Amino acid sequence: MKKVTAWCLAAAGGFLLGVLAVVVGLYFFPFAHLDRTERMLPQFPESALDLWLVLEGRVDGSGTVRAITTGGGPFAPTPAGIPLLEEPAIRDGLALTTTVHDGHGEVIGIATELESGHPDSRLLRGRLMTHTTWSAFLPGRGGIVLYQVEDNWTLATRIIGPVLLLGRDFRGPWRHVNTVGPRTDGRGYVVAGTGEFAGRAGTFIESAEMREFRPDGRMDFMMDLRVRLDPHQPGR
Amino acid sequence: MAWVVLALRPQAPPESIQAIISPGEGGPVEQWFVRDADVLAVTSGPEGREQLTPAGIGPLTEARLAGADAATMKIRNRDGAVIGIASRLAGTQGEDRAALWTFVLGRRGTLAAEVPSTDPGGRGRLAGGTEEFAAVTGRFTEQPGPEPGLRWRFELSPAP
Repeated sequence: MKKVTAWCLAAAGGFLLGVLAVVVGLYFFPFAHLDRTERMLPQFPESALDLWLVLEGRVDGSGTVRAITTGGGPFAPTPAGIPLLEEPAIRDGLALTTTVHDGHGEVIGIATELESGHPDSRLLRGRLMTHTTWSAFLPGRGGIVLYQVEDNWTLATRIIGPVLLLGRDFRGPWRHVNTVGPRTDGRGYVVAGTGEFAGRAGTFIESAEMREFRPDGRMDFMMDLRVRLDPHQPGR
Repeated sequence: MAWVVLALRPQAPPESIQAIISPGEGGPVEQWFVRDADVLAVTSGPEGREQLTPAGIGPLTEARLAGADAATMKIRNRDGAVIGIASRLAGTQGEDRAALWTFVLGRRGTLAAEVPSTDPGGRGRLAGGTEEFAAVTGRFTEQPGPEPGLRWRFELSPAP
């Protein structure tokens, strides 16, 4: 009997050690896409941007974001009473509404971010991805729709996971390029345009600066979309 | 941790709803709906045309956004199943007003459509998309409040 108990304890201990080894290994493994912030940001300097859309949020609820909802976390639904994305087809999603300003702080339009879970997300590849579509409407000018594959591996493992597990605030700043595709050069692209953006092609990246994240999902952050339009496709 | 759970659990299966068919078959190809309870958030400027919801949402107070509206919502197929989420952004465009619709339908992809306010029938055009909708062209029609309990009805049709 003692032998069986000892064997069971050893097996359980070995399993737990194995899981711990995998978790620690994944945490420190240098996935190839993790250096993209240093690679991508210099490709989108302020001087080269055709469109620069910036949004911000504060832990007290102020900022540009008017509404955000998900299938259940980790971001706090705002405002109170907003429906959650509970249905099976959308529970991996996110819907955000915000005003946007340019890089100099001047409000230029309204925007939404709509996400759905990416089926190629894999822990063993260090990928926690979403299909992300940004839509912006700039009064007087027109609208533009941007699509990217976004990866939140670093956000989840370095910020959100530890904050939720330990119950302690994260304080940054932490700067990161979230875009990981779908283009082979790692950029997202312009899907559609109206008004002055009709027929335009181009690429973009989404970068974020997390300044504070709390266990209740409130956060202080800045996010920007850096768009470069194709000069060879001037639009209609 | 929710992200970890998200990565571990199986993804929602693709919806078995009708796909856009080739031009030439005529008539509406797909119809989507938004019930009143499917509206997630609506904000508007003082000259905008939408009722704000939920009650605590911040209005668009900036002067440049006085006539603008922004709404997000769930989308249902003809059978009443939720198949995705969408947004409607509206405001002045040139001399008139226009609405930019964006639909995100999971594995089917993203679809964008434009509706000018000058068309009394809510008829517009499909402006672009990804995946299944990457090459789609045709007509898009929005019908606000087509019947009690419905906020919007949409029809996607192949190009005439």
